Amino acid sequence: MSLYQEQLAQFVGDESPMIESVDAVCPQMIRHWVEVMQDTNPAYTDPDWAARSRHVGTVAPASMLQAWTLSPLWPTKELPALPIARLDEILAEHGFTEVVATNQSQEIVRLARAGDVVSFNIRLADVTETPKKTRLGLAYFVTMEYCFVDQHGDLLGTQSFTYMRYKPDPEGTRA
Amino acid sequence: MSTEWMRDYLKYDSLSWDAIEQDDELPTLVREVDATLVVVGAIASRDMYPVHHDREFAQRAGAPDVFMNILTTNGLMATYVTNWCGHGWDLASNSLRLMVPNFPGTKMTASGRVARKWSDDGGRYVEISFSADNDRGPHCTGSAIIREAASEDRSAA
Repeated sequence: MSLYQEQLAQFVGDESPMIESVDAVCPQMIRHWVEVMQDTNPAYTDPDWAARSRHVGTVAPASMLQAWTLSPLWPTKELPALPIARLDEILAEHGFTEVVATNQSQEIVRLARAGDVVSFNIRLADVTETPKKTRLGLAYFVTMEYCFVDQHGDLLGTQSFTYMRYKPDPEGTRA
Repeated sequence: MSTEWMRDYLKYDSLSWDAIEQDDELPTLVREVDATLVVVGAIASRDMYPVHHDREFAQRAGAPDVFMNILTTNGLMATYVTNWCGHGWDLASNSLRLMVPNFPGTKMTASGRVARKWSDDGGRYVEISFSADNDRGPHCTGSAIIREAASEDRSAA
């Protein structure tokens, strides 16, 4: 039996509970983001303009959706048992120790507003059945589907995210 | 029309529905990629995975240097599109595939084209196909869909 059949397939379709972000949507984190993107839309950084606009107040860029939900470095956040964590452990135990993201796809339902608290959950949507040969080494591709909601449980957007977990090939090259 | 990466929102009106035609090209724009952009992008997106800020860690993973995380590329390409169309449009979706990573010391050149323009009960939409190349090859390809804000909303700001 393959590693997929034996150990990986069982996790496909598993879904985590909703996990609440540590920080509420706030102008400070929005500004740090637009500073990198050089996004000058005043809906993000000019509260007076934003208040007069159709947004009726500061909103966050659509692409920040996942950024609100990532875990802090310290203190470590206690996360519920995620199917993805166990899958990652198993792949690492088999030598697939390195990770690189390959695809991200977001659908936006409404922009998060300053003060919103974003929660998310993850569903393990797919794992490739056999490792694929890549420039970096043999790799499994893992796809997760995310759902993002506000503090009322209303949908903000969804995301599909694919990364590859690979066995570094000493002869391989990244570029 | 500005050809800078940054858009002066107060100076340029949002693009109107009628001003957009299928196959229109977006201006080709360049972002210099240095270690600061890679690291600050990772931190602004709250992505603490060390390949994006620790060169030795990145090299142990087989990379020549730290490299840009996917959330930063996603944010940059979304901004490329929304800085073009202006504040009268909302990003409805954005989808991309990463190829050659953005390492410090490269230039990222973004280009895009209007792939489709349509309206339905939900509103008026434009799809933009985009790509970005760096000095080593293709960095990403993808597509974004923007939705026009309702007219009573557009006049509000």
